[in-house]
This record gives sequence, structure tokens and C-alpha cells, in this order.
Amino acid sequence: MSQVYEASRYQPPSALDGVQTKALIVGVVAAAISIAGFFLDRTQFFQSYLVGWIFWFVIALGCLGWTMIQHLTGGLWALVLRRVLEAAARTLPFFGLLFLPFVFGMEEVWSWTRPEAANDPLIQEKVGYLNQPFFWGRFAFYFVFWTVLAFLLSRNSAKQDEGDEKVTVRMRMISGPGIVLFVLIGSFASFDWLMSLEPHWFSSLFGFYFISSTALAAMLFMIVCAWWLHRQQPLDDVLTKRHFHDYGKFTLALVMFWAYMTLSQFLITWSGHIPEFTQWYDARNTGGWKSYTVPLIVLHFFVPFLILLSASLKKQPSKLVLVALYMLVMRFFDLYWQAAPNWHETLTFHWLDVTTLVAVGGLWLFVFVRELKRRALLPVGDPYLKEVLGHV
Amino acid sequence: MATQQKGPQLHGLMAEFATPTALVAAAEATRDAGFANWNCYSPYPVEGAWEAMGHKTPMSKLTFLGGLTGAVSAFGFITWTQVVDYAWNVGGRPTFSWPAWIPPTFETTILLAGLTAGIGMLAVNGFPQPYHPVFNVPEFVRASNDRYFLVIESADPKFDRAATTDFLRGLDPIGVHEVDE
Repeated sequence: MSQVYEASRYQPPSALDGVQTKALIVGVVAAAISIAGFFLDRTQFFQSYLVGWIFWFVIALGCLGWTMIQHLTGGLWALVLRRVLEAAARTLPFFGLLFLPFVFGMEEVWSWTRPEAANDPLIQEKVGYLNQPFFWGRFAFYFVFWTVLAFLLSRNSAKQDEGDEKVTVRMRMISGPGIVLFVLIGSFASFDWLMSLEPHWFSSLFGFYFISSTALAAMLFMIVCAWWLHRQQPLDDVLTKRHFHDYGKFTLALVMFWAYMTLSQFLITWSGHIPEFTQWYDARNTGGWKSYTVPLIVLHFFVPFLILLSASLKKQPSKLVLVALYMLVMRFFDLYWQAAPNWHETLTFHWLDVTTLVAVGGLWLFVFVRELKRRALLPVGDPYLKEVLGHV
Repeated sequence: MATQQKGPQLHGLMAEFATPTALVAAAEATRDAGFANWNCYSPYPVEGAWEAMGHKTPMSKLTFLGGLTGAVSAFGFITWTQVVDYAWNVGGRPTFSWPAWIPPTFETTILLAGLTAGIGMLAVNGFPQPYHPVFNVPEFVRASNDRYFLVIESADPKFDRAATTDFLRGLDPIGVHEVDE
């Protein structure tokens, strides 16, 4: 069968303009408040900003991963959202730009960059990896890799819309090695930005723990986007409860995977019982942090796990989206739990944690919607699309 | 005694369809007509047929209970052996060292949930079942190949040989067959 789907029929709805404007206003206001916070408490600003930045960055990164998984598996559940995934992946350079302020705040965030680290024999052993020129070199390498991958896939996908049939295989060929490098490079990024916050400690599971939470965060974002899109033209009759059921099943699996990773890392450390490994968990078990750790396990695993067991709930978009939004909040608390105990011995929150999160989120959503509006909402040239639409 | 003609008893009436969509449409019509004892037969799970039949299955609840039994029994049993029955000092850790018990608890949960799902599915479907009247219809061999069947059983309170035959004919099947007991 020849291509019969009209790109013009699947143009982004005009309601996106309103979302874009609102996101920009919220983002700019929160950014202004956060910048005021920078002059009040410079250290706190950088620490809060790192958590807020990673929270949104992980979603865009995960969308790049799901794009490649879609090409490799041919999953129809992701095909209908591929334009959302591609748009989010194209925003990755924006995150590279937002990371640059850390040039002026490294010592506030990463203790191994402070002068007193020179007297720490353990850190001195790691100085071949933990030094600032190499850190920024790696940063540049990561972002060049992600950007090239995102734009390569996105550009070929646009060619597919124009009827070029060879690119279907080409995108699969890119995604194969792409996903392998993606996991490796993502792991190293997590070592640099999150694990090295406690430079004495290391865990070989940390990279995979990070990648799995990336997949979860992006899946939650996909549910929110699918929910929004299925309520209006032109995707209202494309996104069915079958798709939401699939997204719900993925969320359940990834929530379990999060618990699996979290427990595995803990169990290995706990069994080994070696001071330089246990200190990371000690920090999260003392100073009030224990009353944070235990609820986190209950609220990030047991509650969503039991809720998502229900098959009928996963098929109802309006209920599934509530679970997704709840889990996105939990994603923030999990990220905060990984980062903040390295800076504060006692349990603390700061208003900057909220404003920086909202600022990055608002500005990113603005960029994301701008990217989403560039193309038709369905990859109209994809040979598998007719299976989704179920007719012709 | 009903005035049945001689020969084998009637198990029900079978309508034969060529496409899965026709089967789903027929199932919806049969459900709406108020029949209770009827079933669909197809070479593979037909999407929508299950919903059209309006069936409820206890399997999800049974599987959940199986998993719960696995979790509670494994965690409970290890607790009993390690804390009550034979407390043993392992590397100076507390006797109630629950983190080490999570992996076996998890595995037992999966095992019992999986076994309950597998065996329970067979039991709820009434297997093993060496004999079923539908195989008395020669055309039924194609149920495992390329044909879709709907059978209304004579045990149904609304069943009436003539009227039900007319009803099935009205669903536009390839043919309607009588199924002998």
C-alpha cells in the first residue's frame, strides 16, 4: 500500500500555543525569583539548581532512549507518541546550555573541587578522573553525542514523512549501537553529576539505577502528553485505551525495576559492610534523613505498585495520568534523596528547591512545545502506522 | 420430559463465521439478546471478543492472593527460622536482618503468583477435559485454523431450537450447525 496518511490531518492542535505561553510566563517568573535567591544564598542556589536541572533533563534524555527503543522494537505503543519523543530529544542541547552556570558554582556543589580536597588522600587517588578540565571535557562529549543522535534520528524521521522508505531501516541501524552507547554514556554522566557529590563513595550499579529512572521519568511524561493529546483533535481517535494500558504496564514494570535497583545497591553495600561504602547509606539513615528514606520506599514503590496492579485503572487515561503526576513528584523526592544528604547532615528543604525546579520546568516546556509544533503529530510515512490506525 | 426426537441429545447450536470482526459483532448481539450459556471459539485470542462476552474472571484476584501468600509465607518462614527457631549470628548483624530476606521473598512471590496464574487458568477453564460436544461438528476442526465459532448451549434458559436457529441465522454466519451432546 502506498502512503495514504495526510500530514495535514495530524497537525499539532492550536491549544499548544496556550500551554507554551503559560509555560514561558511561569518559567520566567520562577527564574527571576531563583536568580534573586542566587544573591541571597549562592551555595543553596547551585545545590537546588542541580536537582531541578537533573529532574527535567532526565525526562528529555529518557525520551531519546525510548525513541531508539521504538525503532528497534517497532512497538506501536510508542509509534503514536514518537513525535513527542523526538521533540523532547531535540531539546537536549538546551539542557547543555542550562548546565553552563555551574562553571561558576562547582565548589558549591561538588566537594572534590574545593581546595581542601587536595589534603584528602582518597580523593587524590581519584584525581585522574575527578578533575575539572576532564569533567568539562566529558560534559561536552556527552552533549555532543546526545545532540548528534537526537538530530540524526529526528532528521531521518522527517525524511520518512516525505516518503523516503530507506530511512526506516537506517533509523534502526542507528538505534542499535546508539542504545548501547546511550546506556554507557548516561552511566558516566550520572557518575559525574550525582555519584561524585560524595567523592569517597562509589557504586557500580549507580549508572544503571540512573538509566532505569530515566526510562521511568520519560514514560511518566509520555503518559501526561498522551493524556493531554487524546482529549482533542487530531489524536483523539488515535490514542486508545489500549495504548494507555501499555503505558501503565510499562510504568508498573519500571516502578518495580526502580525498587529492584534500589534494593540491589543497598543489599550489596549492606552485605559488604565496608565503611567507605556504607557511609552513603549512613548519611541517609541519620540526622532526620531516616524519616525521609523509609516513606520514600513506601511512596515510590509500594503505593504505585499496588495501584498499578489494577488492569482497569491502566486503561483509564484520566486515572492513569493522576498516577503519573504523583510518580513525577516521587521522582523529584528520589532525586533529592540521592543528592541533598551529601550537602546537609540534617533533613532540610529550601524554597529554592521549588523555584529552580519550576523555573527549569517552565522554560523547558516552552522549548519542548516549540519543537513539538514543528512537525505533524504522527510519523505519517512510517510503514507500520496503518496497524495503529486500524483501517485502510 | 420434553418431546425430543430420538437420537442424541442437543448440546447447542453453533454459528460459523469467516472473520474475527463478524464473531465480535455476533458475540455482542448474543449478549444483548440476553443469552447466558454461550461461548466463542477462535484460533487465537480475538481482541474485543472477551469484552463482548461480558465475562468476568477471578484470575487477577487469585493471582494476587497467590503472590501475597508467597510473600507472607517466605518472609514469615525466614523470620521464624532466623529469629525464633535457630537464631544465628551472621557477621555481627541483628538476628532480624530483613534486607537479606527480600530476594527469596520476592522470588517466592513471583513463583506462587505464576503457578496460581498457570494452574488456576487451567482449572477455571475446566481443564483437563477429555470430551467436549463441539468436536462432534465436522466443520469445527477449522476452529484451530481460520474459522470463528459461536455456540449457544441448550442449557440456556432462553434456548429454543427453532427461535435460536433463526437468531443465529440473523447474525449472517457462513452456516449454523446443530451440536449433538
